[in-house]
Amino acid sequence: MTPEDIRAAFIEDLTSVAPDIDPDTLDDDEHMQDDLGLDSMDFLNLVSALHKRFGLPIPESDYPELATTARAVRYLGKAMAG
Amino acid sequence: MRRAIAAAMSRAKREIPHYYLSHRIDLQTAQDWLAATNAERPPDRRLLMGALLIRATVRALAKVPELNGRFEGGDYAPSETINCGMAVAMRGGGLIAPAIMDAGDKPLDDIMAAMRDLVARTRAGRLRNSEVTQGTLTISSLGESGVDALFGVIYPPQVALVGFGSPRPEPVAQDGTVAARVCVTATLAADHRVSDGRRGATFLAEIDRLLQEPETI
Repeated sequence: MTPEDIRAAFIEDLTSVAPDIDPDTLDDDEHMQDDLGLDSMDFLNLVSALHKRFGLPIPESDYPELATTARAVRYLGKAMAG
Repeated sequence: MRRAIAAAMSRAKREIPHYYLSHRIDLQTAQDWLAATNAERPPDRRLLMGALLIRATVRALAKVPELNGRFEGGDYAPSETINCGMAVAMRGGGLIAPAIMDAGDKPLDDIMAAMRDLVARTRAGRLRNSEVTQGTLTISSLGESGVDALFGVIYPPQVALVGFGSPRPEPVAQDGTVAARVCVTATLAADHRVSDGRRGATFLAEIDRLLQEPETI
């Protein structure tokens, strides 16, 4: 997958968890909790969706890597490359 | 939504003689247990601290059962079943507190599953009428990125509301030294027609005690 593919997949899962987020105005550096208002349940649902889609374990200790869209795309790309 | 909240909260402040208690709870043991438990689990089976807080609160009611019930038509009726309301923030503003029905009989994993289900259905606007009207106690938990403590307004005709601020590391004196440990401030807003501060204090102390033994919660 290219970073563009990963980004599109991530945003699909993010907007499924938080349908009011507009993908067209989403800034890749916006923080999931502080800027986008995800609570702990929303964030866990996002992690669950990414886990199912990418087949990655995503342990809790890696949660900070998903703090923004930009960081998440880098993290998921690296994790898939092994 | 704002009008419905205003009506219920105005009635609460008009009719219910609230008293308030606050107690800081050391959550480090619970946090460590949670991290170790979740490390063994895939994301869709992981637990949130919020589930532990609800489970501890529900169990603590066994010790102070008069906080669980309804004050209607001038009379207080304690409730045998625990329908635990959980304040859920709506994305876009407002909040609603649907109840986890029969929460007293649910072990921790079932509480977590019920929370997931309730949050999803709240957001989708698919709550059952009973979940909105039959609560017997409410818990409001600020989650990770809020303030230290919240002092709630009781949701009538209930007689108590338990609030949890945001857990965060704080300096805690322990065995003569100071250590940084994750703590949460638990608060109780309760109806003075039904209970008093002494009973309320017993209740918060019991929540604290239960959270120190997360493996048996």
